Amino acid sequence: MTRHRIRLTGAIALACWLAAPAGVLAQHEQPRHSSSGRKSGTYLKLGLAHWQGDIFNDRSLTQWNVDLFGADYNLTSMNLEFETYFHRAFLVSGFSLGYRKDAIRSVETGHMLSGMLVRDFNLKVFALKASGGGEWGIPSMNFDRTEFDASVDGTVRYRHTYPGRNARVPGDVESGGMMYPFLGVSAVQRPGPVLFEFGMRVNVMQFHFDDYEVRRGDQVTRAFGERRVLVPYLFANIGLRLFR
Amino acid sequence: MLRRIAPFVFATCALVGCQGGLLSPSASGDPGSSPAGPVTPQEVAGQWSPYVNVHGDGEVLLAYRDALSALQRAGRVQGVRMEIHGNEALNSVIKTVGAMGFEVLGLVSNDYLFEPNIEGVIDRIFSTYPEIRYFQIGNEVTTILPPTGPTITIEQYAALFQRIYQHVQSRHPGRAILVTQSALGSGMRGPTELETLTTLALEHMDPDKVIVAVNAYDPDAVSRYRGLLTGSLRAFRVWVTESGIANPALQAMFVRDRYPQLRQYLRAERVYWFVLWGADSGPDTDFSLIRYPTRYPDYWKSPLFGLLTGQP
Repeated sequence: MTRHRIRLTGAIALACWLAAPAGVLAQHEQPRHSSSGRKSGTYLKLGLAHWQGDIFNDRSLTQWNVDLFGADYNLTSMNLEFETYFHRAFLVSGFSLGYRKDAIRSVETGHMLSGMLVRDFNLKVFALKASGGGEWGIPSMNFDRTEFDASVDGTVRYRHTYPGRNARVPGDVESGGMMYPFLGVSAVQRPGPVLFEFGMRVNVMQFHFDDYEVRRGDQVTRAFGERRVLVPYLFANIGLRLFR
Repeated sequence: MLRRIAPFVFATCALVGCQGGLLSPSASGDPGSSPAGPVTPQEVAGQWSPYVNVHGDGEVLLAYRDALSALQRAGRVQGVRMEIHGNEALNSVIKTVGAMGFEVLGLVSNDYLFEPNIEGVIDRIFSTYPEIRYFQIGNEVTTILPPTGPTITIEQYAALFQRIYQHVQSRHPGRAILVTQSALGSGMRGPTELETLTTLALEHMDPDKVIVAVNAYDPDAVSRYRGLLTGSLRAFRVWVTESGIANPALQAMFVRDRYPQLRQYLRAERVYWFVLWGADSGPDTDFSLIRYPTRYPDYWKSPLFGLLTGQP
């Protein structure tokens, strides 16, 4: 059995072990709700997120196979959020401010601050939470890709794919930062003072696809393109209530 | 209660597993994800950029010829970067290496930057080295000049670069491609200076006639260039004119793991290895691909040199 299978088996066993005595412990749950039936509070949430996918573009300077230009991304992030649920819900039922560290090993990049409004709907077993907001910061380098191809005649072609930098960040040169909107949906449980959440967020990011062709004699042809790309990721959070 | 939270616990565990690689068999975008272990010749060949810095020391020419020929036969070197010093009329090593068929990037030494008649200097250099097409005007000009001698600010350099550019376009159109001084690839100094150079000079130049140079020894630290390279300098080509690691045992791993990052992040067309020979003692020694060239033909070759030439 591989190490990965052992780890997956362990995760399943842990989940089953936690679920087994639930019937006994459930009767001790005494949630405190407001007069409107909602449970308010401010939570400190910690979580993990995982991103994985490809960004393709069918436009190409040289009409190559688009597979050459896959802008693969694959990274894991950690996030910290303060999330407040109101006593009453009208259009929104709470808000959240957070920080996410993408590409955990990198000190200089992958620092994103976010603010979002949330609306949750009680489905009895869990609450379905819809959210929307904006993120700002220094994006991870994982989204920057350059694919090269050299021909026998000395021509070099390459495509540089990257998220468009559209915001200044203190201490950075030119516009090295990025700001974009996002939408999310998650399932939330708030038993006692803790919070569990699992969901998906979709960032609406502007990507650039820059083609270069350098022929012998330094004749350069360029073709720059851009389009919005939906970049989803999965996340799981665990929270602790700080205030009611 | 726990029965209800079990799915959330399971999801969290699955994500933790995912970070460990459960759901991500390939981690192509993660800078730190390259596999450890011995580096194969195929891995090095796949990432190597066939360009090397060569110091112009005439007394080791035999070893240079031998080493460069071996790299050339293996198809691992197409071009070299060599310094054109102000104190010599003609460098025989540059001539010899050029005659071997290598494309030479001529680094116009920092010494020349203080010549009042820089246009005349450029005319003389063009005349002396007609075989050279690419000329880099200075290298790390604000940081490596000794404080005891004349120094130059990036603003002064921008004015000088502008003069040279205008002179070349008016007197020698189509003769040469100019390469900017190499900005430092780490910290804020290099990006800040390149931003100044861009504002004062590069924005007013034809991007077909100028190439932007960066010296990058730490690919993780080049992120500060991204805003510039995808903004004001989007149309300019980028070369990494120096890169490497001061440890012969790690050179091959550096090529395998770090060269791809330099290409990806900086869209660098070329990466010049620093250096073929960096003296037998001193700060550049451990960057060298060869050592003790005066012992030719029994000079020392680094493991990376062996992988590149197939002569371990």
